[in-house]
Amino acid sequence: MTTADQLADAAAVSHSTALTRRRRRRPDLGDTWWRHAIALLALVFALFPAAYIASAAFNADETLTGASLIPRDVTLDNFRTILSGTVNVAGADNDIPYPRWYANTLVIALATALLTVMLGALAAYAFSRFRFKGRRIGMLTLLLIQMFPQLLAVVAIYLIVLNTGEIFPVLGLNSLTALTVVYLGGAMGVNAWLMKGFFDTIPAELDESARVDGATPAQVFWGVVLPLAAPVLAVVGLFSFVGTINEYVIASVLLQERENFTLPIGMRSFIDKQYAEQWGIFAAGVLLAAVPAVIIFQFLQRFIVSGLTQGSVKG
Amino acid sequence: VRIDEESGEVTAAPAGYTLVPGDQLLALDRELAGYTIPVAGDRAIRAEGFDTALELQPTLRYDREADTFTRLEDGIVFRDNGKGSFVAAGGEELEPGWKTGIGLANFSAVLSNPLVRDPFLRVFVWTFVFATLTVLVSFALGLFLAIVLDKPGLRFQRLYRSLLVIPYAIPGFLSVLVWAGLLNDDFGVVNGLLGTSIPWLFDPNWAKVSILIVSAWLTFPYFFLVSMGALQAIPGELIEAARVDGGGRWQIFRKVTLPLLLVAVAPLLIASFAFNFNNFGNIYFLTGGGPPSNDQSVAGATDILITYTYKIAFESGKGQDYGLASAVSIFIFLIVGAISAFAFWRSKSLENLA
Repeated sequence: MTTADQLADAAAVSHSTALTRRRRRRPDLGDTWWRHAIALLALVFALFPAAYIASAAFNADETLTGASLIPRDVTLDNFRTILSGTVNVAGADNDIPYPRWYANTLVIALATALLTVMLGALAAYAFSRFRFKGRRIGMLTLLLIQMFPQLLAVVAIYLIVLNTGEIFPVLGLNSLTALTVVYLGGAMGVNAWLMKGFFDTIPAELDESARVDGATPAQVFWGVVLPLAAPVLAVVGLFSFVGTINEYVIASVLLQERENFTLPIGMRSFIDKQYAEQWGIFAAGVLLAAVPAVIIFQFLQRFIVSGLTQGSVKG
Repeated sequence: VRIDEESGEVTAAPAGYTLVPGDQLLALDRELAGYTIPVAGDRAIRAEGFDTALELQPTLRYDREADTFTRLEDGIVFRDNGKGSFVAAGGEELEPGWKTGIGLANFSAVLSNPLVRDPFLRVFVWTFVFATLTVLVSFALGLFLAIVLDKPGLRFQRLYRSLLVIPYAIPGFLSVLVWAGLLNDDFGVVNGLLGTSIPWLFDPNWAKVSILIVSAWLTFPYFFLVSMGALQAIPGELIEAARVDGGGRWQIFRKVTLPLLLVAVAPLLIASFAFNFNNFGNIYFLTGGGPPSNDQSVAGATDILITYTYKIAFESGKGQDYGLASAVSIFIFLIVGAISAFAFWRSKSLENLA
């Protein structure tokens, strides 16, 4: 609920109490109960796996067989174990540098999200505001390339990174920088399209009046277009953040040292050996891994709606 | 040689030798690794680390004129087979080979290799069904929820929205792994709650159902958000006008709301289709493409083109056939590209490109 809504509510409440209770701003529960019923059903479907992870994470019983929806003994041990960096499996201490993986993932995801927004916005600005030779072809190509199964570009990417690494070790295998650079190319097409659609809805008269006032194209971009495009910037940033946290295949090929893993590879390597026995610890890891994305989502979700649709609605 | 009593370090070298400080050893070792010193009888000496050297003995001899290798041990001759390796008459290959141009052989292999060709149609149909149904079911579910919740002043509206987005916010590959645990037929929670013993992941048909459920679960929040936004962008006067003209609820939805909504959402539907067409993670982490299908081929019942390609190329036990995988992936690319281009053309959503 927005602040304006709340104010209106408060006003309505005081108004109605002051006069009679007959005029209620809220629709009657009699009209809306079925809406709530459907919403609750949808919530069960949407949240049931998440609730299950949460319950397994807090449950003292660690095995998959012992897992149930309501934990018998609530404990934080699973979180302590996964954060400690060592997990005891069958009597032997295994090195699971989870905090390190977490930090790696956050660094890569934040860097990728920021740079993706920048790159996409630059491309979209050009496609939206300038008319140049090859513009149409350029846009179609961007969109088409996106449809290539990226999974199979992996070996090519591996070889490229292997070779660049011999010249610039920073861009070689096992480098988080190299992985970020690879990700930057990955979603160029869709992002540029999404942003271009949104930029098109920002009246060109605004640019013009700024230019008449003596603004350079760069100033128009930074000072006029970008602030107005905040919703779509938020959406693209959010998607690339979540997408990067999720990415498994490319990361697993480029990062080979355990210390440099991201969460997906790390958690996957963890499961490979100890899935059924260490279900609770795994669940705790999953739960913690989901936290950044969920939080950012809650902050940015009001942008998502306008950012995603506004660009294409104008028709 | 003089050795320090306490540290055990050598402090002085005898005449004719030079003492190398520890920090220079590494550089020296690298330099040393570059030397191979030939000795009599085709042999050579080579350093292995700081303090060891190996005497190497050749196992093959190269005949420059005939361009062949002869194995010294048994005298077998290996010839260049023109395909990037030396091969003996008995078929034995020398490793490693080298890169060579083979023209379109990989492409024709896709069409002629029965491993690829036979299940191709079945896998293609399932890929298409999977991508289409995932998009349609998710969109229908998301749109339905958006319509239900899009009531001004509805209590908890914002809370519902925040919670419904959660499946989309949880890193997808993790939730797929969790679903795999939930759908486990022996001790999975789903069978436990329903009191059934459905083989969710091990029966060809149920596995497909599971895949669709999980994909819909992952995707519907996205379409819920999108539809919510698009619904709010439709001017209220249009709906009002339709109602004044005597339109029923369903009629207004079919004739006014849906067409306007589709203008906004069509490009996203197509993009989602193209994405799901190659949705490796969902399939690979949930069922691994399995269970084995009835026609005894490598392709499992839930394999889509991309997971199937991955299997032939990297998991078929014949080494990593990247060339073949690339050829198949170019075919996939052409298929998805063509379908998407057709859809875009139909939906006219590229009209504003000019």
